[in-house]
Amino acid sequence: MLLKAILIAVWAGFCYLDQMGPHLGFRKPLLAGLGVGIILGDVKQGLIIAATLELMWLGQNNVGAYQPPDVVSGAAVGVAIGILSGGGVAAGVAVAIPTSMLVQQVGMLVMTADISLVHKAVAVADEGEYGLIDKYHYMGGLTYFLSRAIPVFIAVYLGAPAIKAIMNFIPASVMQGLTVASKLLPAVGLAMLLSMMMKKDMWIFLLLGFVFAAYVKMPIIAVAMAAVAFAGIYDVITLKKTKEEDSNLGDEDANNDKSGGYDL
Amino acid sequence: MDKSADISVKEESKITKSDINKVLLRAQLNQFSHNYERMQSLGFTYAMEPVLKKMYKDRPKKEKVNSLKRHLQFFNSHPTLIPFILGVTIAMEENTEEDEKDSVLAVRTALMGPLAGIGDSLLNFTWFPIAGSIGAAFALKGSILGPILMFLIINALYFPLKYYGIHLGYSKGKDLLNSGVGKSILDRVTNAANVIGVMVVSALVVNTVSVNLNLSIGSGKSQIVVQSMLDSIIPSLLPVGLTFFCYWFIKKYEGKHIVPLILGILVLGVLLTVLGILK
Repeated sequence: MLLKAILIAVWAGFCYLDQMGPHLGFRKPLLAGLGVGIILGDVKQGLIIAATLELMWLGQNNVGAYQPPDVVSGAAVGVAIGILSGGGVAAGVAVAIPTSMLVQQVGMLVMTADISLVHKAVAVADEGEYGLIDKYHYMGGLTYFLSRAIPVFIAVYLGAPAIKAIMNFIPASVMQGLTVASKLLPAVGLAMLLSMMMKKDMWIFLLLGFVFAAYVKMPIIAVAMAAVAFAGIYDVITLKKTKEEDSNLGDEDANNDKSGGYDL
Repeated sequence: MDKSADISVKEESKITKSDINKVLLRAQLNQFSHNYERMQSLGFTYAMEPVLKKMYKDRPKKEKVNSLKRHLQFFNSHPTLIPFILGVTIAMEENTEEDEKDSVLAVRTALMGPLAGIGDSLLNFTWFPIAGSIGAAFALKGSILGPILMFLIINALYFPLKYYGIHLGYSKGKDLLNSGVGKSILDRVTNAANVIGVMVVSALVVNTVSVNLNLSIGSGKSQIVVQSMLDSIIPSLLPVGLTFFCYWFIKKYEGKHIVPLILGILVLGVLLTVLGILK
């Protein structure tokens, strides 16, 4: 058990380095959770829990400096405890959410602490040699690795037996409620995405996306293709509009008394 | 920037394709030292080092120091589009005199904002959720195909964006920016990315948020199941309603209090299920 907990912690650390590095996809619950399922020897169960978490956190994203609830550690702990406690999806969801929120706080501490690294790099740059700053960059990687690996280890090693004991006292309806809640929660993440994207004219495309998905029942990939087409149309229209505005501006310069006819 | 034409680059310090690939490889670790003050600046400098080392090989120490400090200034963009910025920056470094280096930083800074926006709406908000929802659909049935598909979908787009991004950025980026068309293209791509993002997220609300009422009116043959009645009028009405509520909440509190919102929905979901209202 100790060995498995260590393996899961190391895996979670590496998955987080994907977030801080190449973005291959291991920073997402489905791929992070798959590794945990393999380590614990229950791939199928791991996939089901990881997929539920993936959908639940579909809208959770790092935007700029914003640190969202940490889905990597959440998924690692959720899948591990879901399998180890025998509680499946419901137990997974129940521990994944608080884990992700706690580690989010740890993440913000690391983002603050790592300010010192860049200061050290600036100081060492005075030597005028290349390669000296590298170690500070790698140290940053280590801080992020540990910031996920340590909490995951503690949660899996100590949490699994505790959750297993608690499971016996939780009524079935509450467990079902957690599964239901996991399907409500994507609304938060998706609303956050929308709050950043809803600019001028965007309600048109919000409605189009809804109609395509809800009535036409198009799969996501088809909606995305249609969206590319609509983006093209929107581009043509706005381009035409800016050109007209430019030429109107030219007219106004030519004869000032005729201007003012347009309410811009 | 116009002076760049009359600079002859020495043969030995010329940047080769393999130098650029080295930068690309190092750029894969670009957020390792991410922090609140200068964000990805150390990562950016770390990636630039092989090229800087070559360019400044026979230059005075002061210029080497400056080259490092210049790139250690604030930088933040989308990890997948950073290779493009690196490509343009390498080209700028190569084609500017030591007293024109401000323009390198100016271009780098001008690019990072718009590309971060495009990356967020096209990649984070659109491509990853698409890959995730397709992968999850298979994985929910316990199929290993789910994560494999997800990995392939993501990288089928991400790999070329990084690889061609840095090489095109190096070879064409500077011309594009100098021509004046660049800025308007960035604006147009940003708008288009936003349209795609909104449509996909809207469809994701329908596909992934699920609220099922467990209520029915009457009994026996005349029983009306409320959920199917709702579905026949406006499908996904409740998920959309819930999402709008969250949207309103986020706007009202300007993105604060997200944790109470999540916990509130969690508790409410469990409570309503226990009471038999949701299933």
